[in-house]
Amino acid sequence: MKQHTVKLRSLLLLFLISLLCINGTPQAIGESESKGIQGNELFSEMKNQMADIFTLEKKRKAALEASAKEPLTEVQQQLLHQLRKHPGTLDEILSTQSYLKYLKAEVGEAYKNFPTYVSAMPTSKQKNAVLFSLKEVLPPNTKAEPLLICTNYYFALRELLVQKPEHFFDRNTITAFQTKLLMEPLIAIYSSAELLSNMPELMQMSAISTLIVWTDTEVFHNAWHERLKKYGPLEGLLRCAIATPTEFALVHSFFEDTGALEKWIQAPLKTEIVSKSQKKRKIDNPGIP
Amino acid sequence: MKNRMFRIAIGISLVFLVAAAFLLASRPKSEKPVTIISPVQKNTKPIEASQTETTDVSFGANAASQRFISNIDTNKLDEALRLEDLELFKEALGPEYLDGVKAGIAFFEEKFSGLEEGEFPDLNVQEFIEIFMDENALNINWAESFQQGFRKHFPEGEPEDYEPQMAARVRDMVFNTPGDLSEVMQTLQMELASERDFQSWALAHFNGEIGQQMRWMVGEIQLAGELQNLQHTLPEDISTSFQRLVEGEPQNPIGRILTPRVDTKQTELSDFSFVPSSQSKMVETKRSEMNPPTQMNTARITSIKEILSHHGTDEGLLHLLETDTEGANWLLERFDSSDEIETWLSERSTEASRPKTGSHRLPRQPLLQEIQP
Repeated sequence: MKQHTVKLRSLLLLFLISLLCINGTPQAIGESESKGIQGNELFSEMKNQMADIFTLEKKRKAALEASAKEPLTEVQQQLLHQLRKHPGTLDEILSTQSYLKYLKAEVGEAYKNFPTYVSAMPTSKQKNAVLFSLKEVLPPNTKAEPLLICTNYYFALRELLVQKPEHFFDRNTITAFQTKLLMEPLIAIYSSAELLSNMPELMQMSAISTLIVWTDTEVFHNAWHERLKKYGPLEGLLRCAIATPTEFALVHSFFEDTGALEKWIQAPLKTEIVSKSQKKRKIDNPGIP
Repeated sequence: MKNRMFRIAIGISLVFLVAAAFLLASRPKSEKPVTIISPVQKNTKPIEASQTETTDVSFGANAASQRFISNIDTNKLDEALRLEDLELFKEALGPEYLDGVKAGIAFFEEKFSGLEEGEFPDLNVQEFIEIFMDENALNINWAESFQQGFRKHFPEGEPEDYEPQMAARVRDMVFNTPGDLSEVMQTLQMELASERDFQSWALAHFNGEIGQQMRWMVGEIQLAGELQNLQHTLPEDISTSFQRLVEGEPQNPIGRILTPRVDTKQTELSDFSFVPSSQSKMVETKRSEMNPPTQMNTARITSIKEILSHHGTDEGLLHLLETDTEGANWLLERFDSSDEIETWLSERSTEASRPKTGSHRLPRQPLLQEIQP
């Protein structure tokens, strides 16, 4: 009996993964936006869901962009003015009392220096902020366990996208990543009988979590990229740290040092990874997009 | 005043009416033999029906109740109750029940005439049902049907044996429900409306006497309030207690019965919620049936508060997420941010064990903050 259950779950897992390959990867999300997915009712339902997800995600992205690109307030300008007087590296400047005091007011907790805050990433406050936001966008009544899984997946995928974008855009790698960190833990929550009926919701969780990771990374990268371009590396980074301290510290935590962070911000965000064979094809046939 | 009382009472009665209709419609064909009155032998002695006879005999009731349910235009009914529009109300029930509505008005006028302030109406659900149902339904002995419904959910014992259990259930719900008597009453009514076992018990125990059941429930609410050092005083005009029962979504009792447990979140979804409009109701209903709201007694709530206080709100919530899923679900069903939890924790001790319910949520915050997806 137990063996039978294991077999059934394995089959369902396989089925989910194959669906994940179609629906949940970044490329597929992009493709399905324009092409749609043909298939049976389940696919049709998922296709409709995806259409709604895209529409709403566009709205969310616009709001997030407006927030990320907001000019500094007068208080923030004053802080920037103070910080610019301090000599030293970015981390040293951000470890001055004036910034730490500002940080405490922003995040509600005191840190002895900025690197301590970075190493605490993601903080429990931040995890909960993401968790409650996911609760807002995932199917209604999504329970604590799937929410926690999606939250953990969110941060893991954020890191992957920043550190190894080529993995994010590689269907096989991202599927394996999603399977391990999202689908397997989600599937473990449900009984075998519940799995099929919950499949559309599972797919939604996968698609939404992946999509918002991309949006958040893209929006903040673009906003910071513009700040650095406009104000230069140091002032640009200071402005980023003042305007969006939590997000800045989170992305900072993905890098070993500020130099690497700066380099990442200054480079354009990779939106696709061209494989060797694609490169070769493009060279051989320059007319083909 | 009289008109308002009429609307209120009709709303309450419809809860029972639809509950009773569902009770009959969902009666299993393979239930144990029970004593019922055959529609063709209404005035003869009760017979001991066999399994086959039970199915045949109950067919009329099933058909009538199913037809009644399928005939109701629930959207229109919601609208009618929200707008307090009697004509729309008639439309919602359909032409078949026009005479029933007229008779119902007369029935209610009679029941409410001379009612003193603070008194409960003397309403019997069987009388009320008979006004709306057709001839087949009229042949049903509703009291017997209520007993059958009870037996379906409670194979042993009598309704009175379960009164302490049901009273404890009501009191536990009161512990989790903020507000004055009218708000608590309203929330409880809505919650319990979709709990078949409770409705089956109540219909059997009070034999469809709505006023009696209301009186009992108010007593339990007041008792629960005393246990919490809260005073739930009976409003002078009881109509205020039930006013919002008929004031539209999501409080509307009919909608709640026909689509059980449609969470208030459904109507509060922000623009950023990924629920396809065409499917949201269906998905929500399916999901909510699978995931009924978590109920907690005061001891558990105190324990949750202690964990949150000990670890701090954010750490405490993560701790609960990892170690006490039920506790975490209870919090997530009620709060939309850590700040809301903190506010709840810092409330006065008398309010401490009474967190917000779905219908009393704070407005949702737009997803503009940095980092938040």
